[in-house]
Amino acid sequence: MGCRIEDGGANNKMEEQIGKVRVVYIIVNAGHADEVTEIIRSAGAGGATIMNARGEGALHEVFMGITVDAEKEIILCVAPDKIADQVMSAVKERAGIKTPAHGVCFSMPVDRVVGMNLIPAKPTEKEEHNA
Amino acid sequence: MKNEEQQTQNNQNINQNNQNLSHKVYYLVIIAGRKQKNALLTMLTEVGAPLINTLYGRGTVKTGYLMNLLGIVSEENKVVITSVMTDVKTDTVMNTLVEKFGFDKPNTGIAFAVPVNGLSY
Repeated sequence: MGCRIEDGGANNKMEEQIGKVRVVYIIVNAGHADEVTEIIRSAGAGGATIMNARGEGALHEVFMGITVDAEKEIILCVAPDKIADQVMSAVKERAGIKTPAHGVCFSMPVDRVVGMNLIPAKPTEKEEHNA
Repeated sequence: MKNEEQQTQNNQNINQNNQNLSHKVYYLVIIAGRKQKNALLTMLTEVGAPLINTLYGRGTVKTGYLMNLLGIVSEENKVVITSVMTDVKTDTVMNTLVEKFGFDKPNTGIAFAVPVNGLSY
């Protein structure tokens, strides 16, 4: 079953066309969000929202009475099932845990969504010819 | 020993609650321009949404040179409002977002609901 799309009845076929939708959360070291945004765009995602966060490991580090936290950024992206998979593998490959971005990502199923056109744009004749 | 029994009882209660949940509770995320923050929070409190949290974020929308020159740029600064609510309230909020906030139009905002399968309070 796909997710329910509240679009005011304007595009009732969208649900059939895109199927399941997922939200992908990507956690990276601060300063790498723009790089990851480019990666996810090239993987087919439309856009994303970036939030600042701080990471806390298993060891609680305190230096002179001040807690030392790792500065992180969270990139949130909603995409159809197929694109979410592509996004996750692209992030793993180019900004994964072994890279300076130290990217970790997870996805969750989305049951209802509003305000998004998730249907991929049809390729132009020129693009089709090049493909 | 008594503590262990209490703990077991609590765990059983949580499991029972979670079984009863079965996708009837959603984690709702609303992302919109920061100018809409107050209006959105008012709407959520009117609906009776519990556990409302507000975060700040920024969008990644790219605008063309001409659009930028003309000042037709969607707001970069965003507000991320999250809440946990029942499916009925989620539907109400989603409909309000379309009807009152025009979320069905581009560059206004987005909202999505993730099913919750565990809850304890």
